[in-house]
Order: sequence, then structure tokens, then C-alpha cells
Amino acid sequence: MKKKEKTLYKALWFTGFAGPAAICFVLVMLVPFIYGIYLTLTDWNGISADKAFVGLKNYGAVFGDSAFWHSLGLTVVYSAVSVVLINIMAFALAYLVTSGIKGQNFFRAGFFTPNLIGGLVLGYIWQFVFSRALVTAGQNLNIGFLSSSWLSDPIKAMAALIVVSVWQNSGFMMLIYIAGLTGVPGELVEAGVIDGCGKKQLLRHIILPQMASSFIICLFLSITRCFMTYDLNLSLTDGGPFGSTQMASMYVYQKAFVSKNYGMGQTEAVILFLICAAVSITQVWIGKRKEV
Amino acid sequence: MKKITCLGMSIVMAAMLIAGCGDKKNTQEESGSKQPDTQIGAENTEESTQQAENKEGEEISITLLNTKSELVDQFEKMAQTYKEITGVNIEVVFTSDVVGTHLAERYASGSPYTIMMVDRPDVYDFQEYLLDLSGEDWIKDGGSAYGVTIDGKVYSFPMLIESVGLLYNAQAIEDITGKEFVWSEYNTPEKFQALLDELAAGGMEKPVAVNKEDWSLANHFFGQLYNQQGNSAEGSQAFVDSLKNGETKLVDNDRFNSLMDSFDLLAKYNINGADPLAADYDMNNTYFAEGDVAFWYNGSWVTEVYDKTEKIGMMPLPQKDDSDGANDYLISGASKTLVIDQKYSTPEQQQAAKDFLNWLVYDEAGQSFMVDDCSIIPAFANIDKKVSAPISVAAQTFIRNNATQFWYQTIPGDHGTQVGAAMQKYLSGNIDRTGLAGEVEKYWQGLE
Repeated sequence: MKKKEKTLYKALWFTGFAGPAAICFVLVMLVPFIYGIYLTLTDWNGISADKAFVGLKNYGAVFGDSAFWHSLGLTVVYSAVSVVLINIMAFALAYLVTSGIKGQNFFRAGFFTPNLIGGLVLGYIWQFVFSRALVTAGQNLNIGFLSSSWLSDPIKAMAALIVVSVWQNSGFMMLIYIAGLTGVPGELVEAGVIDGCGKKQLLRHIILPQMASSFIICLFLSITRCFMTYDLNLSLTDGGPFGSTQMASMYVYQKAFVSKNYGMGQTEAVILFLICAAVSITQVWIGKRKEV
Repeated sequence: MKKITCLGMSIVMAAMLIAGCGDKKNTQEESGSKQPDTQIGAENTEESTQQAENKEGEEISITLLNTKSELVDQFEKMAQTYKEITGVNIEVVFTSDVVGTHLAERYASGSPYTIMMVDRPDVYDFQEYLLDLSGEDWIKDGGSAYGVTIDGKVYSFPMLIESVGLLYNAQAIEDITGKEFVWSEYNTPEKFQALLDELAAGGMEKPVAVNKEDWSLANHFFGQLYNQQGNSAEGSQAFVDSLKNGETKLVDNDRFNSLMDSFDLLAKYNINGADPLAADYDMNNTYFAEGDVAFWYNGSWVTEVYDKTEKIGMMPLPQKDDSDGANDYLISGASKTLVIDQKYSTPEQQQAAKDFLNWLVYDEAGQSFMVDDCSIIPAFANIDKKVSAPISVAAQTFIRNNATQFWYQTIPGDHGTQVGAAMQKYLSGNIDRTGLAGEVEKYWQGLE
């Protein structure tokens, strides 16, 4: 009897605290996700009220859709370069603003600010920078690679996307690295110094291994963010020039809503999800083994 | 003290939670308790009639989706006036998204607008949700000719007639040539090029602005290929069908080559020529209005160009192949069109929407809104108001003289992105004409 009461008490306690979050999660994540998977089995055009069941036909069709795989390839390249640069940049910044330079709180806030601006706004600002400001500067100062808009050349447009994404995300990752850096136990560092470690050795053998969990979090966050990039892609290049920077999320959107092929677009979204999940899980799994 | 406050607050919160749950339970129990079914039904109908009464007593409110960015202010103002006159509240919403995409989202979430301004292909896509307007008065005055008819029923209200063509800034031209500009004296490629050369020699180095937007390059410029096929809906449809089944090879097609020759000419004198894909629509607008360029391939919807001069007009694009009146007739048609939702709007709202459409056509104030405020060329024969904006005047002259070409507007939504990308590649020199032809053919054949 008493045990039963205790369980009831615990259950109430749990629903009281976790209930609202759990309900939200189920309603806005789980239900749409499952419904989305159902939609991949239909030939819905995104508008009509009737959704004919077509089985696995969409999955077959996706494998024949070379444009989708091309956009996925682009996403992989974009993500790989961005993730590396974001994390190098973020760690460097974090190291800098914890090293006790003057006005470091101001710098912390400054580097973090881009992350507070939404991707859309940011994209439009940078669009102006790339297509007007830099071009004017480049023409007046005779700097060859700046004198034409980066956004009208496929490779430079991709570079522009990466630059902005690094600029936007590194501030956020910096915060996590700062937390990691300040979390390194002082006695370990002191012990290292007593044993005669230089700054480099201290970083390599004590600080970095201690921060493995920060790296796992940052890599995970940056990988998922980059893979799913849509807003920046839309506002900075809009997939242009001539569709050469259209990444997977945007391709999925185009397929579902512009080409009015919702079933197939949804199927591609599911595949994108699977790939993204596989990459992230592998990364976390490898990282966990390195954690101290 | 703190602890007590904490405790107090958690008790209040818990109480609220329980109260909330409790209420739910009560209603569930009530409906669960066995009452005769009929009684419940009766109760429900009673409730709903009460609601309807309430609605009638209150003011009717409808929503209207505007998709023309240049008419945002006009629509807002009109909504105010309309409320003063009729008491009906119109909430005007504007979107710059692709209309079909935007509406697909709204319908997916079950919250569309009462009246929606859409492009013609959207009417076919959304037909199952739209109100049949065949019984309206305005059908006989131009609604059946310009509205979208599906299976004998008219589903859309032609908001306006628009024209696509080459805009010219006559003032800028005359400043250099020193003589009056009459478009019909330059409507062949040779004469047109001679004029461009003359302008270039006279100081206007690059007299043409070319847009890089998908809708402009693919749907409007390249769209001429589908328009100029016998000057009829059937001709255009047959041509598009022959592209789909691969019968037409564009490289050997006269119209395609004639069109691309003219495109090359425009691109040669393009003010954005150094970096054509960095072109900016607003900048082009400014170049044109300021007279930095004399020609801009665009349409009659351009309004903000009259700061410096009113001597601005519109002409067909000069082409080598002048069959189908390509060099004399202006491409015109009802483009944006209004539809009414029947699935999610109440009958009162639908009626209010119909009344609004009638107001536009038959009321002096409605006509004045369309023609005077928005500079719209109306599609209805009963409206004899003349537009005042010079570009619209030029277009209306073509229309009144029946010098118009058919405008094929049933192109699919992704034509813009796909063919637009191909045109951008061509414009920036990444592919040649054969490559362009190949990509366009691939697009159409992929639709089959």
C-alpha cells in the first residue's frame, strides 16, 4: 500500500515537471515526424485534400533524382568546411577571451552577437556586403577577387555561404568552449606547470583532453546546424547563381512546395534526416570514447 | 519567508493545474453520461444558430491576400475606405513569397484567406478549395473572357490586365538623338541595334538593363517562346506539348533563335554586363527612372519610374522572326486574379467577398481604386475610366487597338527556378545556346 502510494507520488511528481515539456515534444516533434513518414508513402501534391497511397514508390524515385544527390553532396562539402572552420575559430576565440586580455567581456559579447541575429536578416545584410560593399571597395582599391560580386560565381558563392556561417556560429560555439576552458581543474594546470610544461604542452596534454566533452557538443551542434541550413541559404544566395548553391534543405523545400511534389520532398527530407542522424551519432560515439 | 512564498506559489500553481484537469473531467463526464442522442443534437444546433446570430450582429470581417508589392499602400488605404462605406472589415495581408507555396502552407494549416490574389496556374492547383463564381454579374462584362474557367465554371476574378515587353525611357533617348522617339520606327532588330549604337556613341554606354530574376528571365522573357505560337491558347499548348514529348528541337526552332538573338543584343548592351548575375532589380529600376539606361525588359506593373520624366512607354521586343505580330503586338493578359475560399470561410464571409468583387467592378469608388489609385488596366468592359500612368497608358493603347499577343500563363511553378537557372547560366556565359536549348528541353521532358 505504502509502496503504491510512493509510486503514485513519484508519477505525479514526474508529470508535474516533465509533463509540459513532454507534451510539447510529442506535439511539435514526434507527431509531425510520424505524420511526415506517413506522407512519404503518398503522392500528395501539398494542396489537395486526398492523398493517394503509393507505397515505397517515392523512395525508389529519390534514388533516381540526381539533382537531389548533387545538392546533398554540396551540403556535405559545405558542412565539412564550415564545421572545421567554425570550431577552429570558436576555440581560438575562446582561448583568446579567457587568456585575460583587456576588455575580454566586451569581446565575448561582441563575438556572440552575430548569433543573436536571425539567419534571414543576417543573410540579407551579407548579401549587401558581398554584392555591393565589397565590390565597390574592390573596384576602387583594385583588388581583383573583390571587384565582381561573390554571389554571381558558383564557387565564390559557396565560399560566401561558408564565411557567413562561420561568422554566425563561431560565437555560439565560443561560449561552450569558454565554459570548457574555465572548467579545466586548476590543480591539473598547476601540476603541469610545476612539471615544466610550456604553454603549448599545457594546451596539448592537459587542456585539450579535459575539454573533450565541449568538443563533442560543439561538433554535434555545428554538424546538425550546417546540415539543416536553410535560412542563410535562402537569404544570401537563394540557391543561385543558377541553382549552384542549392543545398539539401532548400532542394527539399523546392521539391515539396514549388514543384508541388510533397510526397517526394518529404521522402528526401527523411533521407536527409537519416544521414544527418547517422553522422552525428557516429561523431558522438567516437567522441565519447575520447572523453576523460 | 522565501520558503513560504515558494510554497504558496507552488500550491497556487498546483491548484490551477488540478482545476484545469478537473474541468476537463467534468465535461467528459457530462458528455459521457447517457443522454438521448437526439437531445444532444438539438442542443448543438441551438448553439450554432446562436453563434450565427452573434456573427450577424457583429461586423463581418474578411481577409485579403495581396501579392503585388507595388500595391501594398493602395490596398491598405482601400480597406479603410471600404470599411467606412460598407462596414465590412477587410484585413489586408501581403506576402512576397511564391503565392502557390504560401497558400499551400496556409491550406495545410487550415487558415487560408477569404480572398486571395493568385497567379493563373494557382487557380488550377487550388481549384477544389475555391468558390465557383460563374453566377456573378461581372462574368458577362469580361469575367468569362479573362477569368480562369475550369470545366465550364469560372473560378477567378480578373483583377487586372498586364503587359510584358520592352519599357523605354523616351526622354533619355531624345536627349541623345535629338529627335522624337516613336517606337514603331525601331521595331526590327537592325533598326533597334542602330539606335542602341547611337545611344552608346552619344554617351549612354550601356543603354539596356537586364534583370537576373527567375520570373523575369524564364517566365517573361523566355516565356515569349510559348506565347508567340500562333497567337492562341491552343497554339501555345500544342507547342508546349511538343516540347514535353520531345518533338520540338529548340536549336532548329525559328522562334527560339529569333528570341535568343534579341536576348544577345540586350545582353551586349546590358548595364550589368560585367557581372550580369549581380544585377539588382531595384538598381535596374533606378537606372531606368534616372535615364542611365533607355530600355528595360519588364512589364506594365512598373510604377516607380516617373520622378524624372513621364515620357516612358512600352513596346514589343524587336525580333528577327516577326510572325504572329511579334514586333507590333504587345503581350497582354490577365495575370493576377482574385479567388475566394469556400472551404474555410463562412457563408457570410463568402458573400462579403462576392460583394467586394462587385464593388470593384460596379461602384464608382471601386473602379477609382483600381484605375486611379493602382493604375490597373481593368479587364471589364463596363469600366471606361482611363488609366493615367504612362506605361499603363501605352499598354492600354495596344489593348484597345486589339494589338495584343496571347500570354501563355499556365507554365508550372518550377519553370521559374529550372529554366531560370538555365537562362542565368546563358546570361553569364556558362553555357551556349545549344546548352540552353538542351536544359530547357530536359526540363519539359522531365514533366511527362
